Formats: sequence, structure tokens, C-alpha cells
Amino acid sequence: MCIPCKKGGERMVKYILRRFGEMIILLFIIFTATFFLLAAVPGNAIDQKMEKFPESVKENIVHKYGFDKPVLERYAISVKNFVIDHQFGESIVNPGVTLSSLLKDKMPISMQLSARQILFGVPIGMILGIIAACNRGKRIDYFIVISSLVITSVPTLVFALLLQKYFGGRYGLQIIGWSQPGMGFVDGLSYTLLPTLSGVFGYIVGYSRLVRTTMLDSINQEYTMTARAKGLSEARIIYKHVIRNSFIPVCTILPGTIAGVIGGSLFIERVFSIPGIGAYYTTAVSQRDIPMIMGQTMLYTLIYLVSILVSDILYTIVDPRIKFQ
Amino acid sequence: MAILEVENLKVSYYTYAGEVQSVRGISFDVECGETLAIIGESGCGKSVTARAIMQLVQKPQGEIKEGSRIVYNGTDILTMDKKKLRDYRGGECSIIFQDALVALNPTMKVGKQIEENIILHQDIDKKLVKQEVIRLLELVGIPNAERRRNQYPFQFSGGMRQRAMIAMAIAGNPKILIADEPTTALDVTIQAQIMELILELKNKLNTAVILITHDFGVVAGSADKIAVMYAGTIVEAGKCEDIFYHPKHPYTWALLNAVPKMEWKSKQLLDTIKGNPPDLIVPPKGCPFAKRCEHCMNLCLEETPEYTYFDNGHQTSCHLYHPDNQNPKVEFAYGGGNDGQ
Repeated sequence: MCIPCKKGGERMVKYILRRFGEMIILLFIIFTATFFLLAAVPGNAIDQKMEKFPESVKENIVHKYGFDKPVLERYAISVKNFVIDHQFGESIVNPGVTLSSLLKDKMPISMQLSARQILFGVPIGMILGIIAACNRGKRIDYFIVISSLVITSVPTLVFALLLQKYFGGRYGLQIIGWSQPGMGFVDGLSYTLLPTLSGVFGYIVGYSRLVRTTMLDSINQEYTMTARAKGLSEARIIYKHVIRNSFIPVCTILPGTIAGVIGGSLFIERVFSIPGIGAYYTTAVSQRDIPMIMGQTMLYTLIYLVSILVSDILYTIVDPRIKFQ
Repeated sequence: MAILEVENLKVSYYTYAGEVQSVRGISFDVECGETLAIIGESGCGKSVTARAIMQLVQKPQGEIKEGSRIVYNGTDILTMDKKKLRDYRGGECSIIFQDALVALNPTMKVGKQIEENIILHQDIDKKLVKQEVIRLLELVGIPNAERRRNQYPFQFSGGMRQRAMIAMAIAGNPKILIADEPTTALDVTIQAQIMELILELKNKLNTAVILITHDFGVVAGSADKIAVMYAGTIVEAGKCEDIFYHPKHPYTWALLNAVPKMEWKSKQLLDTIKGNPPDLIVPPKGCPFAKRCEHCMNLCLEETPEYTYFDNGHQTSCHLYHPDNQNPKVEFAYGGGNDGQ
């Protein structure tokens, strides 16, 4: 049955509200699970840090982070801090650092890096995928397929090192650090170009392969033959009939990719000594920095859940067969 | 006057196993406003023939071989330039595919898909396109056309989808309508309705119809001419009455006997054709049907039979009608089916 627009809009709002409700429940479950898992694992950052301290200092620090209280009480306090006070706890390894301060100081740099990679990588990848699919079996298709195979086989880390070796220091390109506020465009670019390049190929290759596959799938469908039998030109067949159908799978992947912006690119940040968030996440896990793990886990979970919701909404826009329920 | 002449059409598809010679040199022609039925079992090349007539056999997977000619109204469509070919497709010759669910674009409104044909092939004011879509939908018997126009194919039932497909095909006022098993995906009641619709439109618009099917029942009431295809060749062709009442080729006999009859008792088993059709990667040397034929002679395995011509353009390629054949004449008789126990 045909649904008038107004009703469809109402449905969408209802659907999104329901999904948000589910999200809150999920977040709560994940919070609880992570908390008790961390509590069950022996040892934490405090033990490592204070081996040499006298007993009284130890007690003080343990008391400061609340680890002298029973588990359930700690749990209750954590829930209160997260939900009511929005306090996500101070890092044990790096005193003074909290999730909020990370978000403020480190996150923007990581996001700048990833956003550059995605902004260039995804559209270029899609265009190459479309070109390859439209010229299937021709030279340009082989070129794109083979070169993307070669590039995927090279790990990002190696690629970053290669770029540093052959371009670093030349043409005014820097291999360490990140652009600072107030730098001019050219100066900023001299810091950002190589790290961006190291990561951008991953997106180009990934999306060109994805789009090529889904396009070819769509080109081989019978509706494409129908379009050809109508007397449409090849360009219009691709534009009107193939692209929309072949972008349905892309819609599942894209929000996840964009959510990845927040995570930053760990290897590249390390290789180029970029002061991003990537380093904090790994050290937090490896050193059992419990407040940081909790905070970051909840952050990434939230981002991930939102990206799934976005991709579900995108689905209904691209594919009329899928409706909000 | 023949509007379409197909001469020595050969189509091959390339697979990993080798070159499949799907159509191996067939010739036929279609007169203005006439219905030609091409009948045969799965894989005999009938759908490939339909696609070849639309120039839809795509390289590199498939190829129409050199020496083939498909002449529409005096011009060979195989040598047409791109622009002319686009006018021909949909404007002069249209096709209805078997399964409208996959043949219609799932993410485009039905009305929009019909609009495309109208804009391409009709000289019409943009404002009137909408009315034309509604007129076409009503013409093929879709009620509530105004509302249906804005729906997607998945919101249509099977029969309605096929009707929409037909509306799309006739939107460009084609001279030839190819129906590639238009009723196979439908249930029997809807089948009859769709066939009726195609014939009604054919008379109304005076289009020639090439009906591709494996169902003699569908052909019986509708075709003027019938071509029976087997293993990429036409084994027998002629007027509808000749094929039904005086069939000449043993394959046609076997097909006709495989049609169930109303007067049969419940225990009777259907006649079947034993064996399998030949592998078209390595087509047999002699008659392609020889291995399954009840009247096979030594000659049949060695030499491909030439056409023997009878009255009214009736023709068949079978050695039984070879002028030197000394064997007693075999005549066709409708079988009563086997008594199954």
C-alpha cells in the first residue's frame, strides 16, 4: 500500500526513538559487562605503578581511585559518575588525563588525519570502482584491479615507512609531528601530506574493490538488460539503473568507515609521531588503566551503535523495499 | 511483407568449459502483424535467439557469429550504428522478459520506468508523459493506475508486474514484440490472462509477436507460425495447423505426445523423451536429435539432415524425408500416454 509522506515521516521518528531506547539498554549492558570483566581480571595499573612506594602512599592512591571499596559499591559509584555526573574518571597511567580532556586535546588531531584520508580515499575509490566496472575486461580494469591488489598486500606500516624514506625531508615534507593551529596552508600541508597519503590508499583500494564488485553484480542483473532493451544509452543505464542498486551494499559499510574517523589510525600516528588519541587507547588496555578503558569503550560503543543506526536509515532511503518497522 | 528476416543466425557463449554454440545457424522470418512461436525445451537456444534479435548478446561473454544476418525492415541490425540501434531497441522492437520481478528495476518506481520508454521513443510534450503512463497502465489492465504509477515493482503482484512490463514494452509503439516465456513465472489463471492481453494488444496495435515458450498449450490458440527448436537449430517450422495436425519431425511428435490430455485416466503416465539434449560445446556430427530418436537410422548419426520442404512453407530437417529413404514411411499418431501401473 502506498504510504503518504506524513505517515512515513512519523514512522521514521518512532523508529529512531525506539532504536535509541534499545541503544541505551545495550550501552548499559556493555558497561556492566566491561566493568565486571575488568574487576575480575587480577591486577591493574596501580599495582604496576606503585611497587616501590611505601604502604601509606599506596593506600592513599588506592583510596583516591576507590579501589578499596567492594566491587558492587564501585559499580554503583561508576554508574552514578557516568550517568549523572558525566565524569568518566581520571587516568591512572597519565594522571590528570580524563576522557574529556582526551576528546578535547587529542581527538581533533586524530580526526583531522582520518577525515582527510576518508574524504579523499572514499570518493576516489568509488570513482575508480565505477570506472573499472564500466570497462570490465579492458586494460583500465586490469590496471585498477591489479594495482589495488598490490597495494592491499603492502601493510600500512610498511607503506608509511617507504613514504618516509623516499619523500621525507625532500620537497619540504616533514616526517614527524602534525600541523599546529596558526600554520599556513602550505606549512600545514607539509606535515599532513605524508601521513594522509599513507592511509588514503587503504580507503581507495577498499572502496574501489567494493564498488566494482557491487556494480558488476548490478550490471549482470536482468533489469540492466531491460534498460538496454529500452534503447537507453550505456551512460544512462549506469547512471539511472546500475548505480543506485549497486550502492545499497556501500551503505552498510560507509557509516562504519566514518565512525572510524574517531578511532584515528594507530600505526600512522605512531610512525609519524602524531599526538593523536590512538596511543592512549592501546596503552590504556595494555596497562589496565581501568577508568580510561571504561571511558573509551563506552565512547567507541556509542559511536559504533550510532553508525549502525545511520546505515539502517540510509538503507531505507536507497532501497524502497526496506521500510521502518 | 517480412518485417524481420533472420538468416543463418549463429550465437556462441564463452564459458570456462569452452565455447557453447547456443544457436547454430537458424533462419526464419516474421511478417507484419503475425505471431511466430518459437518452441523448444530449456537450453535449446530460444531465449538466446530473442536476445540476439534485440542485439542484447554482449561481448565478451557472448557473440553473434560472422555471417549472421538479422534484417529489420531492410537494414541489418548487426551493422547498425549505436544511435540507430538505440532507436530500434524499444522503438521498433521490444521484449518482455520471463520474470518481471528481476527484469524491472527494484529501486525505481514503475511509472518512472515506463516514462523512460515514452520519452525515448515518443515525440511527446513533457507535461503529457504522466497521462501517457496512466493510459498505458490502463491499457494493460492495471486498475488504480494513478496510484500504481508511484509504486515500486515489489508492491505489485506477479501478474501485475508482467502487465507493467508489457506496458513498458509497448510504450514505444514497436512493430515487433518479443515475448520471452512471458507466462512461465505465473500461475495458470494469470497465464491465460497475460496471453489474452498480449494477443489483444497485438491486434489493437498491429504488432508482430515473437512468442518464445516451451508450452504447446500457450501456442495453440495464438500462433500463426511455429518454429520448433532443438539444440540450437530449427528442426521444423510451418503454419500452426501444419505443426499440430501434420507434424513431420520425430522431435515434434515427441513434444506433442508429452502434452497431457484431458481424457486421460488418472493412472496414465506422461510420455517423456528419454535421454538428454546434446552438449553444445561439442555439437553432434549428424542430426542433433538422433541419440534420442525412436526412428534413428545410421545416416542420422553421420550427416546433418537438409531441410525438406512441404506445402505452405512447412519445412523440417529429418532424414526420414530424404528422397532416397527406402524404409517404410512413418506417420505421426497422437499417443494415449503409457498405462502406468
